[in-house]
Amino acid sequence: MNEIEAAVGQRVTALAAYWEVSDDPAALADTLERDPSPERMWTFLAAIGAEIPSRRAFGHAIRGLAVDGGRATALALHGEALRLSGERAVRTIEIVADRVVVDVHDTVATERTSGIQRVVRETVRRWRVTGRDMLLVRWTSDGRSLRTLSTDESDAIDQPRHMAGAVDGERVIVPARGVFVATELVAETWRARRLEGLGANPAIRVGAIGYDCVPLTSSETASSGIARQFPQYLQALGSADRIIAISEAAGTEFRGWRRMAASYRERVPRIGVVPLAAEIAPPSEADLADAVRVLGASPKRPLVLVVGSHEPRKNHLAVLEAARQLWAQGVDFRLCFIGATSWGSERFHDEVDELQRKGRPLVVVTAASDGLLAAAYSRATVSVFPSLHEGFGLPVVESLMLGTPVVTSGYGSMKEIVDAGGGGVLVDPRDDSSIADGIRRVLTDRTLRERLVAEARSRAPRSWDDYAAELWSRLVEDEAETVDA
Amino acid sequence: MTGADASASHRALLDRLNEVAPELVADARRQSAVGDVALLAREVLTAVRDGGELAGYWLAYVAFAAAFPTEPQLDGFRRAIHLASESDLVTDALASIEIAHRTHRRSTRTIRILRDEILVDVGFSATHVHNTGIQRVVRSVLPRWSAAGHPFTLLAWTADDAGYREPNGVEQARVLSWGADGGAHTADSPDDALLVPWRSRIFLPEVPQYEQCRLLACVAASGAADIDLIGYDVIPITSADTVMAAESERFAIYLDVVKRSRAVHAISDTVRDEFAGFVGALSAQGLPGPVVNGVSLAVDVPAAARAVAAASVGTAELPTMVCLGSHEPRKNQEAVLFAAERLHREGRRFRLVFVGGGSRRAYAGFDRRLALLRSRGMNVESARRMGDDELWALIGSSRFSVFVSLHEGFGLPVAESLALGIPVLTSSHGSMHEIAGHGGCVEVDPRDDEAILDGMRALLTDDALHERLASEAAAIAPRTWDDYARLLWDGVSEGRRR
Repeated sequence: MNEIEAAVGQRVTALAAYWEVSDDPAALADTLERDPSPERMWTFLAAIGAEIPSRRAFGHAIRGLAVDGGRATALALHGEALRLSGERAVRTIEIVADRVVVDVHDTVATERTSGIQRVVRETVRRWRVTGRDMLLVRWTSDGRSLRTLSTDESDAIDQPRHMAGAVDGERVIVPARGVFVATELVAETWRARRLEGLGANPAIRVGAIGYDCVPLTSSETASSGIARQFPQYLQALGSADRIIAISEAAGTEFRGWRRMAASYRERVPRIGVVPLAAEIAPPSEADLADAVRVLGASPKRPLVLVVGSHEPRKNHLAVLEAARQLWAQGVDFRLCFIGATSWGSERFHDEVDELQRKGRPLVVVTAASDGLLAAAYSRATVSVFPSLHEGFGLPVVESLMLGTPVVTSGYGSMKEIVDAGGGGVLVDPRDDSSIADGIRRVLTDRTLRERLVAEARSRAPRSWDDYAAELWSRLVEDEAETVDA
Repeated sequence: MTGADASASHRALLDRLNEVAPELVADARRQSAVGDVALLAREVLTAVRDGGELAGYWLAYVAFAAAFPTEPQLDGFRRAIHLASESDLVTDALASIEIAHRTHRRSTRTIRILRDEILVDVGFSATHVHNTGIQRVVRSVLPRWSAAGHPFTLLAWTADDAGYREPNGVEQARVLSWGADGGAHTADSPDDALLVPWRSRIFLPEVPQYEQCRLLACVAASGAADIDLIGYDVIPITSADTVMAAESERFAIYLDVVKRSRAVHAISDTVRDEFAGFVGALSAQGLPGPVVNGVSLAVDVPAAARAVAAASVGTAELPTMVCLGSHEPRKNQEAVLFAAERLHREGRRFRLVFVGGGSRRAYAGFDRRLALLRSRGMNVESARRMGDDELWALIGSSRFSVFVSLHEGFGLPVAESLALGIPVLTSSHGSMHEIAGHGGCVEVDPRDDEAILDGMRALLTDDALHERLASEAAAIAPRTWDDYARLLWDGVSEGRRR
């Protein structure tokens, strides 16, 4: 028996054990002949092919079933598996049933801590600590199959690191029945296709975290790559059972998309909301000292802090314009941006250079530790976050948690945060003067500022523990009917 | 740059400033600056800054740049003006355009303001002889508006997408009197004036090109003009697996125009709901979005078509099913073929004819499959294209038509088959379901192979059913292009004095 025959034999054995029939391709074929249900067809296709079938491949198999019957279809697929070559040909499988399979593909392979990665890490870490019965997976490098994590990858949930050249191993996971959690935004065509394929199995319930629909509804602020891929991700989400959005505003967007898509789908996902958490540890003395050094913060001059990556959606050109107006009017403050350069920010950097040449008190920090970020919030008199469009608006929450008032956009998720406990001044981010006015009021109106600080300090914190627990119950435990409330 | 060039571009700038100044600058101040480009430029910028209205900045930008701005370009211009000292006002404003829009600064182009008009963007139909879906709508509606004496002005785009221009005679004819002569491709001349919408309504019966969408979004966002458009479908977003990724991206950019528009006139109630979904998502970014109306498209087959079809009834040797539509996964031809194959295995006798073009990639496999099935004795064929008479005769001679698309904005083949008196097997959702509501159809879930098979068998074998549906089809009074054009004009001209 060669290597491929042995591998296919293992898959037959695993599926036979799962179906509780004798360990023989003919027995599997007879089972599919007797019960040609979509669920059985899907599991057979996935198990014998050692991959997650695309919806299209699944559709072909279902047609084969109708014309040729279960036995012939099964034997043909078994024959195909024996003729495979390459990595997939020698894969072995583990069939997983009635467990929660959690996809953390990107998060365990990157050292970046973008918003999405932060949510995934904080959530999965807590699910792990509280002993949730789940299996963490990522996709094999050929983009066809799921596998469990290596020890390094598993550790990477807690300790972000860059993972170069991951080794897949031979064993892949076939989720036959249960819940599949898509924690990340899927930005690749191949992965969207496979996610959709998972949703095609009637025995698998796909649940996803819904971050936002920015690439669909604000394409002018999205980079070209993501605007191209995002509809494919939405397509895959169409076969999900539920999407749990990170804010009411994000939920509104997903409901809008669902209505766009509803007329051509036999079913559409349910959409619920579990508002995101934010935690930020107060800065140490050393961090505060760092802030003075790096940001040039001083007690004599109010600090206006802007946190966020430099990309058009964050509206930093408008902040610069507002600052110019205020400086020109003689309002004294130091302006500090903390955030990485993303895309479309050439003009921002040009203007910063020019303002610095003119001696304006302005600093741009492109990389900051958590401690420095916390110190900056603490030192700041006000945080400014007039984003044009956000699924959540993390800097708004973080600033408020450390007792610093915010000036932010008067709609969507940002307004939602301010409405839930105060501490902020709402402005129109499409109007530079409105932003300038908001900043001026906080800087110059002491009564207002004190009220905002008091409100910020008395806000009830929302912890990651809360978020992780609620998300698990909405994604995994709740009956479907209660999700779309 | 030679001295002569410089003076030509200088003169052109003065001309452009003269064109916009009456809209922006008070008479007295304007007259004191007459003929002096530097003085007039200053007056325009000062007036715009004092007025504080975004539309004013937009118009000034067009005058200085001889091109429409994108939103970031307009923001840069506005902020530069806001910031400039009195002495540097003109220099700084020009410098900001220089950064954003280098190529247009020295343009010798002139501009002409179109104020308080209804302007129709026919950028594609005017410059192309292509004539399917959208172009047919354009070429059916606008001649009727013209005949009814509705006042509107046609617009095309300059070759460099700087902005609008007037379509030339051939181009106008291509839109207003299509059919006489398609004519050769045309291009704009460099001497064309840029046409500048101002306090006007722009109507988009086409989906504009990628670069144009950014400019149109800015026109609408600034308030220089408002925008109405026909909503055809949202297929590139909600059936992304059936289109190229680049098409999805292009459509997402088009949605940026939709988001800023005044009204969407959707071609079916289904499409109205789809756009309403998009509008519903906009509150997350603080935008109200357009109002969305449903104006169902016309289905008007020519009298000649009815005559040919009627004369062909009963001429087929075998009961014939016809399946119309381009070859692409969305149209679901594979499911139709699959059902027909099973019907053939059941021993039913029939003929199946597919009519429709497509990419080589789309139908290469399909053709091989057809050849195989023919070799097994199944009567099936596929025609890429067909003359009108031949097509009408084929439909007229068919027992029924099959159109089980996964997603359509309208589903024209369903409506056209019905208009020719032929029953249709179609999809039980979306716009096709909407059309089927008028009668003459068997509806099935297009993703359910069994349902398609059952529906096909019923239409093929159940004579009572067939007869009932055929008489229902004959009784449908299709919406005419006259009706559609009238309803659309009412919608597009809404709220404008004329």
